[in-house]
Amino acid sequence: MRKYFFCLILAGSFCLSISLDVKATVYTHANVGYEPEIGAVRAFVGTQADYDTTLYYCSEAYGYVFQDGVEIGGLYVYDEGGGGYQACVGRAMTETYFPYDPNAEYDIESFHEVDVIFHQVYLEYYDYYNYIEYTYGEQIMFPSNYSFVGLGPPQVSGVRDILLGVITGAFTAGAVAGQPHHLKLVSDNITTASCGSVRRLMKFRVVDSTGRRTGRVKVVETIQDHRYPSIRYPNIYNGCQGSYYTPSRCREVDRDNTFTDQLWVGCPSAGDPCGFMLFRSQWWWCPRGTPQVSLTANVYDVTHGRVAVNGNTAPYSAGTDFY
Amino acid sequence: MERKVLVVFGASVIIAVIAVTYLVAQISKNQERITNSGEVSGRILTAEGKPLPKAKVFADKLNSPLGRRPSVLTNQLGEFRIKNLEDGIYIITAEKTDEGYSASDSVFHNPNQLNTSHITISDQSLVTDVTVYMPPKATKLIGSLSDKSFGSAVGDATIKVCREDQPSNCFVTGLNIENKRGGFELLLPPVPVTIEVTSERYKTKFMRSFQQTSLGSQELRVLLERKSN
Repeated sequence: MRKYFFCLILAGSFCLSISLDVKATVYTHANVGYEPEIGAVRAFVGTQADYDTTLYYCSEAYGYVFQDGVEIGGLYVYDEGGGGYQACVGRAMTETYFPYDPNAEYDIESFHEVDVIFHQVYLEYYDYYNYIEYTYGEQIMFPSNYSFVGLGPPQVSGVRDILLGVITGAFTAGAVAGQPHHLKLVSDNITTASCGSVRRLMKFRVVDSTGRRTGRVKVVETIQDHRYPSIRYPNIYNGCQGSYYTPSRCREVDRDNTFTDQLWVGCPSAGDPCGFMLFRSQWWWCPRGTPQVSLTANVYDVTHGRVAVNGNTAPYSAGTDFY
Repeated sequence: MERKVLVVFGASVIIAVIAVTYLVAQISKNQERITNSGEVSGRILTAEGKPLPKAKVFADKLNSPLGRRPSVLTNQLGEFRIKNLEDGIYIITAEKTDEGYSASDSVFHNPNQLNTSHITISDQSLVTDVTVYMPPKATKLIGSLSDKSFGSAVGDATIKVCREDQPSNCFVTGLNIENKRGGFELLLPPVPVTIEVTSERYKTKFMRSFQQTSLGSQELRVLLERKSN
């Protein structure tokens, strides 16, 4: 019986060592918006660590502000405690102001770091919560604050600055953008390639529920059965090329907040009726730490001589919302 | 006794399964970091050799023509860097349509001289100093579609433009100016074209031998006649 309990305790300890790796938390913030009291654009960045993190790391935040896609200034702030072993207070926050142009759009892109403190005993940098293993500058979306948790075990780190995450935010058409909600069509162009295959390029913008463009977020595509969307395909066969298409992983949209979805069998092409089987393409927003959020789902029919989206071979008008 | 052995065996199996799951998760996590780490950088220049800022640069993987095209905008010096590319052969192209630069791989605008660059990414390599020259600036056609009887803007239409020297080489677009109902823009090739406008409620309109002028842009107002009921 004692052996039985011993085994249970052993198994339980192992499970706990894997699941209970929450050691400490860092909150990150950034935003850009209009301040009517002073008639200026205010940009803010901040990284705030909890007490446990503060013992072993210093906080740091910096960011860049863009007006209509052109950088107009930056922000930088280091831990208020100034640095050094157990000297940091874990708080780094700053703000700055820019002249306001009511016809312009403003974006912020901020970077949030914890700096590993030099360990007097080991005489090396010491990543106590193993943040470097846990995070590689993944993106999060304003206004979400995100808690980073350490995985452990502690290790000596080769670098001092660990980028925890990047926040993007936007102030457009007189208001701060909300969470990504759906896609809005920017352009839909169809041409015929040199080998005779039809090539359709659809440029999309990620927008919030009101149609206002969001900050620079990451998106990803998944492919599903067009009749049973719960059936996901890891890839899809291109009969014209004899190859498979595998959607890429989460990737940032461009600085103009657009991305282009290409619907084409490519060249060379054997001609009709080769191509892809009918499939459902779903685009998702990839926030960090929470499940992906669906932006739109459409049925694509991509063959040598015809490219249809939801049955339409004619291009859609700019501004069409895709949910 | 047998029961105790079974319990010990069961616990060992649980521990082993958890350990293997954990290890597999770590390995796949590391593999995710290893792939997608290729990078290409370079410059986009005009035909005259000047850097082109805010041009959109694409890295299209050969034999993988479906899905999202990896892309970035050039900086003020015309420089670009596209990160997180998987291993493979890529075609680097660029465009800046708002300033009259058609896509450098546009068969419609430049059928005989495509300005592209092929690069190979392997083993997380970094490919630098790629230079893409843009085709000469094209004339921008700024069009508007109106109802012939009422003068009101048409809400939905397809505009098909075909080269007269290669009638099957066409460019098809919709109304593509977001805040201007009935409006469209496109870049004309340096040869006469046929323009065909179709809309569900209107009769199809043809314009033949439409030729670009030497101006940077030209306007076209199209009046569409309603189909009879």
